[in-house]
Formats: sequence, structure tokens, C-alpha cells
Amino acid sequence: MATAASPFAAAPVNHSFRVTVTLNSSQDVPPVATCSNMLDPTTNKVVVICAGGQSGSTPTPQAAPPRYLLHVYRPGEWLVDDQMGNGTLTSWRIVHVANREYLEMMVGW
Amino acid sequence: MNKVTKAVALVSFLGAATLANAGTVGPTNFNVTVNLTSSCSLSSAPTDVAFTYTSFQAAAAVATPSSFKVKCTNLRPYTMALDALSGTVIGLNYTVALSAAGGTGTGIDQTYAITGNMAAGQSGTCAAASCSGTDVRTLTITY
Repeated sequence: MATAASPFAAAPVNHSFRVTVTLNSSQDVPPVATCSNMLDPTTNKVVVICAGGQSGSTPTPQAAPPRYLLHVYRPGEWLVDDQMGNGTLTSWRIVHVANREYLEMMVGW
Repeated sequence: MNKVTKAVALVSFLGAATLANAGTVGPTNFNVTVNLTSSCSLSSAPTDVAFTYTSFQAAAAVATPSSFKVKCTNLRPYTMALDALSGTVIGLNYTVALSAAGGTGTGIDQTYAITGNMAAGQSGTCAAASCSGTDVRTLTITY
């Protein structure tokens, strides 16, 4: 119950305390795959190697596995997969659109 | 006179003197006065009010509350106040509040809390992935 202090108040008691703030400047985002690719001219096989997280880092055990979108165009339809699969590339190129780079691969299967 | 005889004679003399002055003095009252200076103290100082915030988060952040203990003379009323109810740390606005505005002493510890709240959708100021900041506030107990 809150009650008014006596008019014959003694010296108040003061004590400081801290307000601490830890700011994370962004949400934890799923690791963005960093990919490198290599075209073997003799076999025309493209090997794409992706690592999750920031460049040069490896995913932490609790992080989600690296994911990236593989946009595959086949005449008449777009196929979108979210995991790399085995396949045979007939050609590929990097397409830069709207601040994003897309790896365009022609896949035969 | 041997030693035993001397001792008996002395006791007899003292006994005769006492009997000669025998009487009753009525009960006499006397005062026991006590001057009590009441007091309040922080038996446990406030802990930190701790926020963890992510820029632009959708929900308001509720701080880990601070707790403290006040011990005041039994029946002594007191009030509690903070020097400010809001502040800004690393670009984030926060508010703090006391769980009670005051109380009445009980002679034992009384526990209170300072809660904190931070509105959603704030940016904050941070040049790195994570930053920390501290503000110092003051709790005052008046009695």
C-alpha cells in the first residue's frame, strides 16, 4: 500500500542502477550460400560448390543448412528448386538483375 | 574467645541493626523511555534493468526486471521514485517503472521491482552487428 511519507522525513536513500541495452542490428538471417563454380572445359561439367553463411565461414551446427534457389528454365515453365541436385549442365551464365546475381544454368535431364 | 565465637557475635550484631530499621517503601514507578529513530535502507540494491533488442523487431521488448529490497522500521511509511521514467540508449527509447510507489515498513525486507519496456519498430544506433549501451538511473526512497 502506498502511503505518504512523514512530514518529518529523514534523509532519503538514493541508489543508482543501470539500464543496459544489447542491440542486435539485424535479425538472424539464414546463411546465404556463397557459391563458386568451375567449368571443366574438357567435360563441359560445371561444379558448383556452396558454403553457407558469410564468405569464408562455415555454418554453425545450429544454423540452418545452406539453402539457395536454383532457377531452372525449361521452355514453357520455370522450375524452382531449393536444393542442389545432381544434373548435367549444358551451359550456364551469371545474370545480374536488380542487385542480385542469378546463376542461370541449362540443365538437361 | 576463639574464632567461632567471634563470627557468631558479628552476625548477631548485624541482625539486630536490620530489625531496628525494618519497614516497607511503597512501589515506585519509573519510566523506561525509548527514542526510536526510524530508518529505511536498501537491504539489496537494484540490479540491472537489461534489454535485448533487435532492430525493427515487431514486438515490444520487455526488460529483465531489476529487483531490490527495502527494509524500513515497522509501520514507517515511505515512498519510492525514479529520477526519470524514460531514457534513450544507443538510439533506443525505453521506459522504466516501479512495481509500487511506496509502502509501509514491516521491519523486514520488502521486495520490489523496476520493470522496463522498449517499443517495437525502433532502429537503434549500431555500426556493428551488435552493440551495447548503458544508462544510469537513480532510485530514491523517502521516509
